[in-house]
Amino acid sequence: MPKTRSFRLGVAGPVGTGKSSLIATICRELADELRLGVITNDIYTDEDARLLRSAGVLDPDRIRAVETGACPHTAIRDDVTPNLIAVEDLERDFAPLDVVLVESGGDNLTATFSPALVDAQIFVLDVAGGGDVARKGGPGIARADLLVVNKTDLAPYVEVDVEQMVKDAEAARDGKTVLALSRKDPASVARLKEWVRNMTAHVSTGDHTPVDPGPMAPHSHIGEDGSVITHVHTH
Amino acid sequence: MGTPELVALMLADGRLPTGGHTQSAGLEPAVRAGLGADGKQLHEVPAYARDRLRTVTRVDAAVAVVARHVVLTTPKPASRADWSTPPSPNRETWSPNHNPNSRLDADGLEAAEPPGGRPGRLGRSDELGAPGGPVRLGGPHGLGAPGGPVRLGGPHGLGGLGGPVRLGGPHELGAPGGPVRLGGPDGLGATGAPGSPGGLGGLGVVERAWAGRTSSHVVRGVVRRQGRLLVRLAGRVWPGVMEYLPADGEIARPVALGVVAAVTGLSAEQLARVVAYDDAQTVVSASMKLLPVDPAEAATWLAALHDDIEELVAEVAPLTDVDKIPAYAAPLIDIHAQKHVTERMRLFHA
Repeated sequence: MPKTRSFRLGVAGPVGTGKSSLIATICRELADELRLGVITNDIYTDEDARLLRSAGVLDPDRIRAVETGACPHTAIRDDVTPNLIAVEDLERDFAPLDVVLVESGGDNLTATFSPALVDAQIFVLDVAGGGDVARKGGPGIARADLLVVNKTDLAPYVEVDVEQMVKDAEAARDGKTVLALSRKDPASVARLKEWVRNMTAHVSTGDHTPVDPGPMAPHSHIGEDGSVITHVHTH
Repeated sequence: MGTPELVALMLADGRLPTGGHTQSAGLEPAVRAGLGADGKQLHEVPAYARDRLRTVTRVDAAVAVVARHVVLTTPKPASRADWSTPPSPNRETWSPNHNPNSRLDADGLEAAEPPGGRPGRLGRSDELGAPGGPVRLGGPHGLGAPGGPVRLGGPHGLGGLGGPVRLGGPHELGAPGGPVRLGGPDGLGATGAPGSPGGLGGLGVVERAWAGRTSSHVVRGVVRRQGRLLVRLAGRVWPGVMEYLPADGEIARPVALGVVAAVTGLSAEQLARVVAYDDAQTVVSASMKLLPVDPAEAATWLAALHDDIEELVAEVAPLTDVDKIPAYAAPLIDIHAQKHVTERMRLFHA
């Protein structure tokens, strides 16, 4: 890996689940120990970049916005080149960076990053989106490197059982990490920090192979004999 | 490598991963400025695409055709020697900012900037307009404006500013120390003299001719970024292009397309048609994101532009001489582009 190559960490998830504030949290908590950069993709291009800049958690020059032509899904999967160039330019302009966070424009449950763009990815859900979302599954929920169930502090107001939601998510993920997160819960923020720190170390040693969560959710269809077949396509 | 016809189809396919989804060919700022009247004047969309075909896109297509010709007619060893670049050039070395003799720092500076742009720099007078060459308003280039005078008038207000504009010829831009992106790190400055055998006398001069005819530094930055995306992909798909282009270079997209065409065997006509179709399709596709457009109607607009596209093809395909590249301009499109880069809410990069 060239010296200037950073750990590229994608953050995806539906609109409004807290991707930008998650990134702001990571910047706030880790900017002292890791050299960070941020690329945002917003449908309305620089809204997220502005939020991050105004949060004052990172040098504004290290936060860049990439337009997606209203195609946030395309920008992280089918045609990653504009994002890739933005990442590489950031790595070059602020070399060496440890981590470049790439924020996807908010999309639906099927939008995940291509391994051509990021080394690992976080998929973000929130309790306010409904307790049943984790059960619905999908490639990001099932196979992102980390699933965050965000805004747990809101659970009492939206009548969601966080514990159950995390359990559902863990079941959908075959034991892969699920993190119940609230900005207001320091212990959960510490767990997020720890995950990013560990993943950064893991990737920098070259031991990590990016995994494509894939565009397809596990799904079922009726077999020729009438039985229900549930499977996951390998990618 | 495939057949030329299939290569042309690939290049014209918006699904080719070269960042096409980020482009509106200037339609987004035009819509913001009133084109289409919130959906009440949708016929202005194909009119806008047609205006581009008759002006800026005609220039781009001509540039591509001449770049193709240069690659096909320059002896390979010379081209290799003069255009070769290190395997992984630091893009900084392409930037005129790093040339102490540079008198033009606009291009490299702007091209390297984040898409958000830096409004504070846009007003600098030395970044606007064609450097070095006097701007001459007057008749169209010797090729003649297709269908008479270039028509930019129309309901969306392109009139008035829309007369044919002749910018300074390419040689007037060839001052040593100007911005160089073709020609390798050693090619900065002195070797850029027009007419020097091989080297910048070839593709570099074509790129300068394009830059001299593209007066908005924002547009130049956008077109070079799109070129970079294409070069990156072409290097993987058609590795032969890398004999002529710097890896990850910021090369105007029409020049890069010309090289791809030369390497893959596209005819000048096929190449010009790709440039024209791609531009029209970019406008029409973007309109569906920006205005209440029925997709089937959009396809009808595109089909209705076929004659304009073929007219463009017929005019630019025979070109071989860099000095014969027409210099049509559409100043309002440039003005829109300059404004767009400082807008907060953009769907499209340009």
